[in-house]
Amino acid sequence: MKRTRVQKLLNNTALMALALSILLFVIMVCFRPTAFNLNTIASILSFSSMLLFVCAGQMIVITSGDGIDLAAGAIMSTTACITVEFMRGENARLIPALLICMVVGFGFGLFSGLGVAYLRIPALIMTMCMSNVLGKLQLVISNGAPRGTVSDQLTAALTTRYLGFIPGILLFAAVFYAIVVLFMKCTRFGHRLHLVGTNFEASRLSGIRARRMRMFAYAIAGMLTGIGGLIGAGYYRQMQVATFDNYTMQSISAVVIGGTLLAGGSANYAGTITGTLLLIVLSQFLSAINTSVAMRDIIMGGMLILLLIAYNRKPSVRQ
Amino acid sequence: MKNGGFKAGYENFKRKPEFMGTVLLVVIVLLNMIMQGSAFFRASTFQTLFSTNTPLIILTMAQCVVLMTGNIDLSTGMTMTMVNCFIVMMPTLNPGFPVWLAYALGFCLAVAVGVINGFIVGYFRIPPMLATYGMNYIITGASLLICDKPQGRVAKELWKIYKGDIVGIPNSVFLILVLILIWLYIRNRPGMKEIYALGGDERNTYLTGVSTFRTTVRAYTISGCFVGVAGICWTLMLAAANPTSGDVKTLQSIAAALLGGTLISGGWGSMICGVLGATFLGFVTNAVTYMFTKFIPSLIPGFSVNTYYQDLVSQLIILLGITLSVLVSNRARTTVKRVARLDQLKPTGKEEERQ
Repeated sequence: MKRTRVQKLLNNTALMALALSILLFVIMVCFRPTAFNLNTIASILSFSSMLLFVCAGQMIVITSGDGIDLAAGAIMSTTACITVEFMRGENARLIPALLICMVVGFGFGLFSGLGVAYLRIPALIMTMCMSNVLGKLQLVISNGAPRGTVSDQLTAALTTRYLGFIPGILLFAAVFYAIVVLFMKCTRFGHRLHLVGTNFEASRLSGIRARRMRMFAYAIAGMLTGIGGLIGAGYYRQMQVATFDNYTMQSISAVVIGGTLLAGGSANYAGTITGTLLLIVLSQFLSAINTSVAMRDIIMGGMLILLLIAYNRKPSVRQ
Repeated sequence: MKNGGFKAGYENFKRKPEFMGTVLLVVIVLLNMIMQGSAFFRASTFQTLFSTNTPLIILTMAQCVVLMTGNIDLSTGMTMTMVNCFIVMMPTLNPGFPVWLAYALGFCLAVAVGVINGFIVGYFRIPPMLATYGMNYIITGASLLICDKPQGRVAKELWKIYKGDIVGIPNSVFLILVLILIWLYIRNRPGMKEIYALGGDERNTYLTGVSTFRTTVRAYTISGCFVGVAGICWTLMLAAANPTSGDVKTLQSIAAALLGGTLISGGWGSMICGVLGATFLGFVTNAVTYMFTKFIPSLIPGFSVNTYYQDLVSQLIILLGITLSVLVSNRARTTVKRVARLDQLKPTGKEEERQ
């Protein structure tokens, strides 16, 4: 009885990711006691929140089945560039900028979704090409280097630290993520999306317009990532081209480490949060202990593979 | 299939994986010829084109083998870079170290990475994309350990061979031809059949008694061998060690493999597809650059745009090409499967009655 309870705990990926990130944090503090301060915690929370905006979209795409969004980082970078180009430091343009980001993100997502769902191009390729196109598009829009900044009020709202360690961006992320979870759990779209992800044919035969669902999964993910672009630009205040491009693989890793199945149909909401946290703590840990960039890369890669071996193995062909 | 003239041959060729890659390549070569005229046929054009693109072409051949099993390898570009760093730095750091041994060991290093990739993907059954992405991190770290910044040099005699030519045909083209011959030789060996089968249907392959684990490792190992060759070419092309240079080549090689007609879902494609796709990629950049810098300005005087537009246009052409290629390949694959099934059922005669 006791053993099964322990096993159950060990099999709860969300909880284990949280435990691992706390463990890593403790090890980091042991290595470097000076790292234990409110500043470190605040920066970990800020970066996790920023990554969570992309992860939410990525989770929806992965849940839709056979899906992956390699354009997520590029969409975020592009919308961030658009934000700073459009806002130019004027607070009155905040709401229009948000709307533009959402519409543009939605459009990019819709385009990927169209290719994946209707033209049946594998998601990996369609979104990879999208990512390449968007990477060049950013350069075209911003002429190489985006000028302008976001409004000071937005930056202030995102970077203020309440109680010394709760950054404003965390509150935004919490509200945002709560809405996403509610959307996935309590709307018809969310339920159907799970069904489409679990078994595409069955969902189609039971009368769901499965292709359309899949297409909109990408579009909604694009919209969420677009919001993330605005928030990211707001946090950094100024932007460079391709700032968030590495968020693509980070978001996929975070979502998968959190326990969402790459095969689709099963989203782990709590796991996505803790997976994001774990990934950020890991990178903070690696920069806190004094190692070279080379060793940091090696440890990061090794940890990623170990985590995947522990939590995201495919069932054997025999079963 | 009986050989019945040109039309039947064409119908047959249409069902080959290489079909779309060939069409795309012919179109882009024609486009280049129309725009550049006789300048296109100068030996120096081909020399530059092939000496810069040969590493990518070989890397794409490597990627194709892995894609055929339904897996993917995101670490090839960095493996190529690691081989480059190793080959250059080994004789530089240890004077007296034989250069040929550095090349041999560099090649072995790439094969070892292939085996490890295959082991992780095949034995632990973790998603190949993320597994090889993790490996990519490790290999990036290893390359940085070997050499932390661009440095070192390759003996002039060595890279002169790579960039030289025989009767106007670049030496790198001969290398590619040799690799294609190797592929044609191993293609029909029993081991390769299993690789195709694994990509077609993992479960059925297992049920027929093939070890899926061993087949996965085999595919990644063959891929590793080709990456090793690509790494040597990359070294000769750069004539120095650069620890961050090859990262972009990974995604380019996947795009090229798909342009050539290999399907990412597995079981469809060949290394020749890889060669066609990667060559197409090289020609596209060439054509677009020429179009923006020479061709359009000659039609519309005073025309000049930012180079960013060139990149955007090439990416859009690549996106279009991949879309076309994937659609055509998917259709060809379905046709081939259906024909094979009908052929199987013919002797009983029942299937035909039912239809």
